[in-house]
Amino acid sequence: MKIIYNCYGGSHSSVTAAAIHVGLLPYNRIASREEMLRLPYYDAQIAADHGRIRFMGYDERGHEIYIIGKRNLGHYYERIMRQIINVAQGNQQEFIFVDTMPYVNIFMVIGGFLSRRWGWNRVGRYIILYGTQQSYFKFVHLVNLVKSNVDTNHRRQDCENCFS
Amino acid sequence: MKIVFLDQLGCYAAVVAASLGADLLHNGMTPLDISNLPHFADHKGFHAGNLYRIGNDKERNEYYALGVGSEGTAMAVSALDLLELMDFQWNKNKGIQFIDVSSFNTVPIKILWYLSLFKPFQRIALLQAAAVLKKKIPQMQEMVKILSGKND
Repeated sequence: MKIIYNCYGGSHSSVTAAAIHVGLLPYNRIASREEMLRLPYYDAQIAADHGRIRFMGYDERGHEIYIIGKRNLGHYYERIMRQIINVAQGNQQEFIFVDTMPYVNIFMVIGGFLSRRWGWNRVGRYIILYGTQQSYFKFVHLVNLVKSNVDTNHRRQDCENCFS
Repeated sequence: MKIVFLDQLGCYAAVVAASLGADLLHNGMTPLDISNLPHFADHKGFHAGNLYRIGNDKERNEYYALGVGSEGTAMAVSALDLLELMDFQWNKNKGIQFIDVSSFNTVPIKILWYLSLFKPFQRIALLQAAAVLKKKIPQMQEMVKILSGKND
């Protein structure tokens, strides 16, 4: 299964959630600033990278975890991607799209804007790291929800296979 | 081969471009003919993600129109990445091409989108949008020829 975390720029919230999912960041304490800055793609993507699906790693069950910057599409992003899967006659069950934007706070928005749009990395990063730490356990909660959802789906599929 | 044209709502420039590809349109068509194309201006709000199947050409290429909001370029990239994740097998008969035609929906057309939501203005907005897009047909034709490989 492929799990794609998506946010506006694919630089902060989606990277944080995906990193928690693959175990690059801890889930039982707030990650330090250094730990977050060491993440691949954290505060590193530029406008030209928007739309690129980036691989973050595998989780403990072998699911592939990706991130993407979807810009202003909001929940329409999943709808568009599902339509493309339809056209390509792919397997819809293989993909899970997770929107991390509801967990983004005002500090992350301002910090992200300063750092990515205006290029004020020093100030922007300081604010964004503070914001990410403020929302950290919300991202942990989101990842837990995704993991339990994936497990439930798997169990349901197993069960259906039993009866078929 | 499947060719998907992307624009903001999936039912203006994308429908016209897809119709050109599917040989449903020719140079002599009036705005009224364009407005009667299947799925033209077929929107009830401003929701992205609507996919319309427009038709086939003689070479059995399938043409689609998809609404991707104002992120046509990013979504064209994303779509190709997604196909790679799906281990999509590319060959001449089974390939998918994404072409962003959002830029053909100019400011007057965007104003007409809003107007078309009011019932009394629906018909006039539809015809006006068709008239604006009619002027873009030669450019679109060229683009469709080049990008879908029909100029070989």
